[in-house]
Amino acid sequence: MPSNNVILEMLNRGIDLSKGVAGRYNVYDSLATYIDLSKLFEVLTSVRDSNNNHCVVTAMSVVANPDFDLIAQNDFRQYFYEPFKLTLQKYPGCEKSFELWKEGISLGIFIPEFHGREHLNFLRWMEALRNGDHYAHLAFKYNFWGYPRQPDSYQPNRSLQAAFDIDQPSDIDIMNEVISDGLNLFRELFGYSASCFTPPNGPLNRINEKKASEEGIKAIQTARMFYKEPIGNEKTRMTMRYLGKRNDFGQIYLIRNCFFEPCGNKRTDVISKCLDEVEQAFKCNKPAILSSHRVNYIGALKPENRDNGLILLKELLESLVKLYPDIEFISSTQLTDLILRNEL
Amino acid sequence: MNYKELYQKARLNLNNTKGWRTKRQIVVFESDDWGSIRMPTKDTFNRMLEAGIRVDKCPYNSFDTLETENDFAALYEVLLSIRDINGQPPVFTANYVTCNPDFLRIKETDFQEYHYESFIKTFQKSDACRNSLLMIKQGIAESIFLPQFHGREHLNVNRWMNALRKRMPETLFGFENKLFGLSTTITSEKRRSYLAAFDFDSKDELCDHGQIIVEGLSIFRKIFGFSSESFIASNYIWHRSIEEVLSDNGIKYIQGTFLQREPQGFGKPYLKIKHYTGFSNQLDQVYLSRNAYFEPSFSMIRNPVKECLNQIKTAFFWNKPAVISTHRLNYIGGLEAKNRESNLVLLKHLLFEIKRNWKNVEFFSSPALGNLIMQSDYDL
Repeated sequence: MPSNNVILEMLNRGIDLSKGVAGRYNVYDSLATYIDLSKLFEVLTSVRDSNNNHCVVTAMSVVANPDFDLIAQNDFRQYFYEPFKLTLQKYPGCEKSFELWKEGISLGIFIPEFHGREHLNFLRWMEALRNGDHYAHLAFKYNFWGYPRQPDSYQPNRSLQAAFDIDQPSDIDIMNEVISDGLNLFRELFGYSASCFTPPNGPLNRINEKKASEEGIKAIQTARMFYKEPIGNEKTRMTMRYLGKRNDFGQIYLIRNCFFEPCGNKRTDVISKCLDEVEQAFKCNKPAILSSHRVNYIGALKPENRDNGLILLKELLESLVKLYPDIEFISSTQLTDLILRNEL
Repeated sequence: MNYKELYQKARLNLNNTKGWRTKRQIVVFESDDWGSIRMPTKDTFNRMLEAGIRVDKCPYNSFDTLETENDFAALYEVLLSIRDINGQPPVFTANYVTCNPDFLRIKETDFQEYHYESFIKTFQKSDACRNSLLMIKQGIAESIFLPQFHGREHLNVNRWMNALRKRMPETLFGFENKLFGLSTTITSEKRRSYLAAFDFDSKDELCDHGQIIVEGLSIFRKIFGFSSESFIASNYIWHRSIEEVLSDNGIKYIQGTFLQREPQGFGKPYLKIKHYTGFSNQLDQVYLSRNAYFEPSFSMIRNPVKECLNQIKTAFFWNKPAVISTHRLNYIGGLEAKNRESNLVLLKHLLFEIKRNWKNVEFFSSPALGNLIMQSDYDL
């Protein structure tokens, strides 16, 4: 969400962005500012594990955003994107954020891995724009696409966030290019190759998995065990995934088994629930893989959201270190290597 | 109060400390097992007993069978005898299994293939149940009976079919008498429960469970004309991954007790996962945890009404809704007419006492409670 102003403008036009499952993202989520990152790093470095390491966040990163100006100049005929490093320059407070990204990497507390080229199914989005979808254009005007789909939206059931979902088998080739482009850009930005990949919202065809494998991706992260692989024409193939399962291309799956998502979750005691989940994981001799989206730590739109998220994160981390003196904080990248080397 | 009672009381209080709170005095009745044949007929019961299988030692095997028109009429009469502050009578959230095994077709394949029939078809085979569907619809129309999803069948298909293929004697004898639900407590066979539909011995079975849920929910929609919003796993045993399939198919609320038992595969003990009313999972499904029990058919409970009232009192003390578990077997007269009659007297007494003790009481169905909790979620 680019700014609070956009939320108000949309509300004036009858679209309440706070509603629905994406509500919390629309109201709180934006690019991480310098302050957001430095405060997050402060919390991460406030604890140490049994190896004297700080807590590490594997930051699943999209490396680009749509270039709204170029798309509009081309009358929506063609899609253009810009590296997120450029987008950072356009967002107040984010101008110096990238320096902290690099610092996080060098400190070993913030390890970017691959979440896609952009968190957008650009094929669907461009189709909606070209077909004159009123809401898509309205949101476009304010440089975003995460509006709640309305019943009279263009193909409202097709998620715009699910970047690698496919509508027809021919989309698979295009997605292969997106993966390739995205991973190249990732290398350019961060100076190393990504080895973990979380497709936005989950969907990823197996041919795209293969492409990712060829490009160096060793692990696919997911929160789901019952996996619905998109095969086009609104069909899916159901398969089971579990932690460490290997696919035909030698990649392993990492399944998130703990959830720490305090933002917008006022009913659940997120800390005790997450501690329970960690306990369950350890009881089963499994690593605890915590899911915790960026939205929980962003104060760009509402500073109290970040402050609240960080207070809870600190409490969680302190509890973990206290409860499990032998705890080890590792990144998904390290976990992938461990599993592949069979050291677990 | 002895040590065990003290422990139970402390645990009940402890379990009520966490979760969603409300000042409103909400009572929910959750009733499982509707639609399942369990002990199909009195004849079967007698034949089992003659064969030395002590079905009389298990309340489910003694009382629980397909619900008849008379069962509905008698239950509805009691439910309609009382109203809450909003004029709403108590509503039973009736958790339905949508199918039973098709014994004939399974036999035709020599136990190689599993086949099922919808409970509507099972209803048609018995005179007493012929009008049961009409009674369900009447209950829905009067807002006193709301079917929700309990599974495709109350049966662990894989486990049962494997036992049949191995020709396990009591299982096979049950099958010949159209009975699958012989409790583990009374069988001499060393085996695990056939009733825990979503238990498994190997994780590979999970894919079948996914398929069973998809089919079961689709049959549910066809029968009732609406989608189930909540789900309760048989025997409170399920693996977290099936919540994904449930979510994909419209299930927003997960009923259960404070403890989910999650299978870990053969030889490994269940993982115990705690759930509190109002807590949600990453799919935004809300858990509803039972914190009261009204199960008078279980003879070991000395004073079921008093105990249930105490549990409701504890729930309200902690500002929690009282979610009462009350299985179908308590209201069934098909095998023992006295079972239904005496328990309905107790239910009436319970309802009267609830109303007398808490004048502002409100009767909710499980989805209505889930919805209320969801509404109180995001106040951005």
